[in-house]
Amino acid sequence: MAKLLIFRGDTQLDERELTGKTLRIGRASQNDLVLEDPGKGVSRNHAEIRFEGGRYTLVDLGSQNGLWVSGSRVPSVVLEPGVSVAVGPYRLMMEAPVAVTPAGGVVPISDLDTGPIEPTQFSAAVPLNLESLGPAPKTQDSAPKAIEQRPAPVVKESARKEGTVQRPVKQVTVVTQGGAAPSLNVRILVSISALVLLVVLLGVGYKMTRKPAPAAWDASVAQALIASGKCQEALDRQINPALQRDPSNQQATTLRDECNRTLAQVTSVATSSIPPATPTADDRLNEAESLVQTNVAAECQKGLDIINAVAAEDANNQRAKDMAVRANACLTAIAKPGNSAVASAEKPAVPVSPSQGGLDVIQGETDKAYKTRMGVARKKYDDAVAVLAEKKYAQALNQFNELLNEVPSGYLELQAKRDEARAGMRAEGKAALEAAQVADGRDSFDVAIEGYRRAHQLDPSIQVDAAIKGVSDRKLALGRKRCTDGITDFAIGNTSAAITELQEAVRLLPQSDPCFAKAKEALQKIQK
Amino acid sequence: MNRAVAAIVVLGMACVITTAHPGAQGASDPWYGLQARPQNLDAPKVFTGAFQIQLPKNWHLAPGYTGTIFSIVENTKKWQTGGVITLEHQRLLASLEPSMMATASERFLKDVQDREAQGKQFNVSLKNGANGPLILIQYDRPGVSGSDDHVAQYLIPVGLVLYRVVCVAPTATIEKYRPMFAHVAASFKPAKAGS
Repeated sequence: MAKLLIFRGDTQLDERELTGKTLRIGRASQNDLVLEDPGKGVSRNHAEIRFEGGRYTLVDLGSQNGLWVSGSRVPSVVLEPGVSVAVGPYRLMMEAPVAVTPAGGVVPISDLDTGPIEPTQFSAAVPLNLESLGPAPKTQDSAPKAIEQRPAPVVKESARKEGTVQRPVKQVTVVTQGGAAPSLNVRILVSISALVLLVVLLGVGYKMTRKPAPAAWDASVAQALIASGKCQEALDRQINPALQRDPSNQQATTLRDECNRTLAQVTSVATSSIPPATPTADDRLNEAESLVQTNVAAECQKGLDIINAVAAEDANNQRAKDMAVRANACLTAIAKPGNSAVASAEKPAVPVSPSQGGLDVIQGETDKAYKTRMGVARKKYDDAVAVLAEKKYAQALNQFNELLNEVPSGYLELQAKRDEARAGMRAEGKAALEAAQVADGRDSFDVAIEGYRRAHQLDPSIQVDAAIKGVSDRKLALGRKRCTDGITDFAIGNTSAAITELQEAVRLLPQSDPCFAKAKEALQKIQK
Repeated sequence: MNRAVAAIVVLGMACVITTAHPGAQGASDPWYGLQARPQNLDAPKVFTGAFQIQLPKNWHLAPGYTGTIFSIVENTKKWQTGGVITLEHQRLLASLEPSMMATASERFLKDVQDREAQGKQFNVSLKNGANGPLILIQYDRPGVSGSDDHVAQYLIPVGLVLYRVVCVAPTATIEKYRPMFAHVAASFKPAKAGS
C-alpha cells in the first residue's frame, strides 16, 4: 500500500495511505488532507493526488504558491519515494517501501513481485484535519502522542500480521470508522475529553482570530535564518508572511525558492541516509566569490546575499567584509548607465603608442582605467594647445611641462608644442625688454623695472640686473631731488610747487629713505 | 738772522690766517670777500643787535620798513645816480640746508627774472660765506638815468630768516663799486642764527 508522509520541517506530522482515490489537499476544511497554514503558504484548494497509470501524481490546482520539487515549481509531479514536494511549509513524500525477507534480510521493494495494484485494495480516505488536532507540534518530542494511542486501522494490522512490511518512519495512525463500540465509562471519558478539547479549541480559535501583527519584512533576518540552516523558520516567520502581504515581493520570492531548494536537498539527503554536509563559511564564500566574478548583476547580488548571510553569522569575518566590498563594487559598476561594456572594461589594458596619445600601462590596470587615464592626459594636452593658440606662451609652457611628467616620451606633439611655447616666450621677452627700455627713457621707473623683470621671466637669457639697478638708482635720485626741491619750495613759500614735488618725492622714495619722512612732514605742514 | 726767520714765519702765518678766513677770500673772488685794507668803509656797526655789517663811509643811511631794514646811498651830485645798498629780510618756512641751496638759487633766480622783465645777463652762483653758503644773483637792468644799472643780490639764509644784501650801481662804473660791495656782503655777520 502506497503511503504518503507529511512533514513540516524535519518533523513528520502524519502519514496517509493512498487508496487510489483522488486525494484533495489544501487549507480548506473540505479537503481530504487539510494542511493548516496560518501563513497561507498553502492555498485553500492547493493540489490533489491522482492515481493515473498505476502511479500517484500530485497536481497543482492553480495554487498561489504552487508545488516545488528540488527548487523548481512544477505543475505536477509523480510521487515516488525520495521525491519531496514542498507545499507551503509542508513537504509531502512517498514512503520508501522496503521488503523483509523470510530470513530477516532486507531487499528492495522493486525486487518483490507485488503484482498490479488494484484500487479496491485501498480503504476509504479519511480526512485529516490538523485543526482538529490542535496546534502543529513544534518538535519531535511534542509529536501527537494522543494520535499514536488511537487504534490502528485494520489494514495496517493485517499488514503487520503478514510481517512483510516494515516502516522506517514513525508510525502515525488516524481514527477510522467502524471500530468497536466503546463502554459507558469510556463514553463518559470521551465526553469529558471532548469537553476539555472543545475548551482548548475555543482558546486556540480565539488566539488564531487575534493574529499577531506580522513582523515587518526584513530580508536580512530571513537570509540570516536561511544561512543558519533554519529555512523552515525563515519561511514561516518571514518569507511566507511577506509574500502574503505582497505577492510581488521579488526578494521574498527568491528567498522562498532558495529555501525550498534547501529543504528539498535536505530531504533528498535525508532520504538517501547520507548525513547532510553543512557548508562552512569558507565554502559559502567560495561560492559567493565565483558568483561575484561573473560580473553579472544577478549573480553579484546572489553572491552578496551569501556574503551578507555569512557576515550576519560572524561579524568578524574579514573575508566576508572584503568580498562584500567587491560585490557592491560589482553591482555599482553594473548599475552605471551606459555601462553595458563592463565585462570588456575589466579586460587588461592594451597599450597605445605615445604618438597616438597612449600612456605607459600600470601593472594590473584594466582597459577601462587605462583609457580613462588616456582621456585625462589628452584633455590636459588639448587645453594646453588651446592656451598656446591664444599666445599665452608662459601658461601653455607650464601646462605642457606639467603634462610632461605624466606622459611617456614621444607623446603626441608635446615636444614641438613646448618648443613653440618657448619660442613664443622668447619673442615676448624681447618685446618686454624693448618696452622696458622705452619706459626707462621716460623715467617711468616702475613700468621699466616691471618690464625688465618680465623680460627676464619670459626669457632667462635676457640679463636685466644692471638695468634694474640703474633704474632703481635713478628713481631714488629723482625722488631725493624732488624731496629737496619740494622742501626748498616749501621753505621759500612756493607752496603749490612744493606740494607737487613733495608728493612726487613720497611716490618715488622708499620709506626707509631719510628724505621720505621730511617730505611727509613738509606736506603735513602745508596742509595745516 | 733769527729776527729775519721769525719775521718770515710770522708773515707766513698771517698769510695763512688771512686766506683761511672766508671773508678774506675776496682776493680770489671779486664779488665776495673782505678787503685787506678797506679805506672807504666804516667800522662795523650793529643794527638791532641781530647782525653786524660794515658800510661805506659818507653814504646816506635811510631806514626801511617791513621787509627792508635799511638803505644806504652814495652821495652824488644833484640828479646823478651812484651806488646804493639795501638790506632786506624775509621769513622762511623751513631752514635752507646746504643741500638745498642749489635748488633755492634756481628758484630765486627765476623769481628775479620774473619780476625784472627787462633784466638781462642774469647770473647766479653759490658762495661759501662765514656762516654757510649763500647765493649771489647778478644782472643788469635799465636804470632811472637811462643807462643800465648792475644789480648784485647776496641771499644769506640764517635759520628761518633770509637776508638779502642788494647792491646797485651803474653798470658802466661797476668795477669801482665791486670791491666795496664784495666787502660789505662778506662783512655781514648775524649775531645768532635765526634772529
